[in-house]
Amino acid sequence: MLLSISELFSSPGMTTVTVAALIIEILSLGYFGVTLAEFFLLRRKHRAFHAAMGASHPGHPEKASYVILWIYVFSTVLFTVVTSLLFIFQPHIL
Amino acid sequence: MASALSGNGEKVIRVISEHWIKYVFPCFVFGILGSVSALLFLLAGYTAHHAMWLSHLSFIAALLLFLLTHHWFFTKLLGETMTHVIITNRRVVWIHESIFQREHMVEYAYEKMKTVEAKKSGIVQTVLRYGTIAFESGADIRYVPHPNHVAKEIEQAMGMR
Repeated sequence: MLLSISELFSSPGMTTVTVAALIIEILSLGYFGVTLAEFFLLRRKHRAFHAAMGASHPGHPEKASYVILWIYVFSTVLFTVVTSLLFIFQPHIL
Repeated sequence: MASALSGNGEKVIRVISEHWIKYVFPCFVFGILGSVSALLFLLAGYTAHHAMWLSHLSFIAALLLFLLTHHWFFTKLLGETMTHVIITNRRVVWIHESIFQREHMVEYAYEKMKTVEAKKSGIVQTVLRYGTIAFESGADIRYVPHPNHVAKEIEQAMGMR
């Protein structure tokens, strides 16, 4: 059953739960962004270090981290959407 | 991988990633905590009609546990994939990374060492073909795939300097 926006804030308890869920999702996306920034910073440092030694790029370790990075991006977006929808539609559907 | 000479005459011979065994423990923990959060999501669903407060509490707990586990797991994995060993004609460099926690680079210059030792201990390391590379000074490098072969390459590189 789909809850309307007003139902999500219909009582103090419901408002608390809605705000808590919202804060958790925002913090999660914030952490995700900071992690990506840190990852790209480290990757730039590694590339500079490899270039100083005469190699073009780190090769296999970089490919592996790219694969994991894309899985991380895809799964984070997917889980954020699914858990948000699950909360808005409420778990009656389970 | 390209291995041109750098300005100071250093040449990268090989870049080695650590063995996949290091991912087993994080995957195991992720599986356990992911299952617990899935059970909490199910509890939230089953109690939605008759105990709304319990349903909401379980949902928030499940969400929090799941997202914490998810971010911990991928942060750990991303850090681990960036950890690698570089063998050049002058030194071995071990770049040991962990996002937000550790940025550690250890250098083993050939000038300061005479031997390198490969160690495999136990049936797991023998079967899965990984082990430790030990130097005369400095920390040992663990989770090296085919350590005997790597040690031989390092010895050959030591002869090239």
